[in-house]
Amino acid sequence: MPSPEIEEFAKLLLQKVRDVAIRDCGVALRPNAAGPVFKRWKEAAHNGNLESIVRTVVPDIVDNTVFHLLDAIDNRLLKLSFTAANGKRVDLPTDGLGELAGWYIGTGGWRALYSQERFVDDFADLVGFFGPSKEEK
Amino acid sequence: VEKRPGHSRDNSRGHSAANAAARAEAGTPAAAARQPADSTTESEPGAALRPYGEGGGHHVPAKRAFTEDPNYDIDEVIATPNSELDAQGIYHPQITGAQKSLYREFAKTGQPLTWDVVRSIETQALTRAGMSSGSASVTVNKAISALQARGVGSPVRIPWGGK
Repeated sequence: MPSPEIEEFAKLLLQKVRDVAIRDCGVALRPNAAGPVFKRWKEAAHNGNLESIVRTVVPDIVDNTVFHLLDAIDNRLLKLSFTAANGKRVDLPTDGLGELAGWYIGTGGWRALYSQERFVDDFADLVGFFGPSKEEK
Repeated sequence: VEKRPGHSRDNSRGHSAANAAARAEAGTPAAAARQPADSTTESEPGAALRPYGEGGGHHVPAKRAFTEDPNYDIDEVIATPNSELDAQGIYHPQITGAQKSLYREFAKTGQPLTWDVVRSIETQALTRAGMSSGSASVTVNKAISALQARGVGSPVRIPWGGK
């Protein structure tokens, strides 16, 4: 058996990440499901073929799960650290400033920078929302 | 590799930061087009809010604006709990994604973050996630009032705006 500490980590990981992500995605089944993601899923289901559904839903569900992992770290539910290639260790809840989930899911974020697989940027239209930056003026 | 923007860019861009609050209250043309038909009802109660430590969910407003304030505690301040997000049919990443994107854009203006800008950005984020504008406005106002009642002062820094 793993140590009690590892079991505690497992419990938090499953309840604060896996279970929350499943419930979050399950909201799509509610009649009042709102927003562009659920609209996209309904359109994919309406097309009625497995390829359309999988191509649309899989990256969104993976993004949702990663989002909730990072959100759990941001909110100090999962107090994890990371050791970089240079040997420096960072405390993710502290050094991440509570912004990890946003850096992941927002426009121009980590998916755009680092992922080699498909995703939908639902926030691309917000670029330039407040007009030109001070550098552009 | 396929990276698709969810929405094409629209003509709502290019407004000054000075009238950001008014813009978000009214909603951009694109946001208005995405709002439910029953939106802007002034008498809507807004989302149920609970301390984050009791129900988890989503911090309104973004916590990074206040985490250096001694009266701010991420577990004690109120949030929209997971159960309420579920009940309202809201997909949590949509709110955070809009928050990050809007605060990041605001940071580019070089202007200081005020309660009014926080109010407008947070309302816009909830609305884009599918909450009616009336309910979003009430929710954000309740959350800000609760923070102020705790003695939390003006926003300390712009979330996702760099150190």
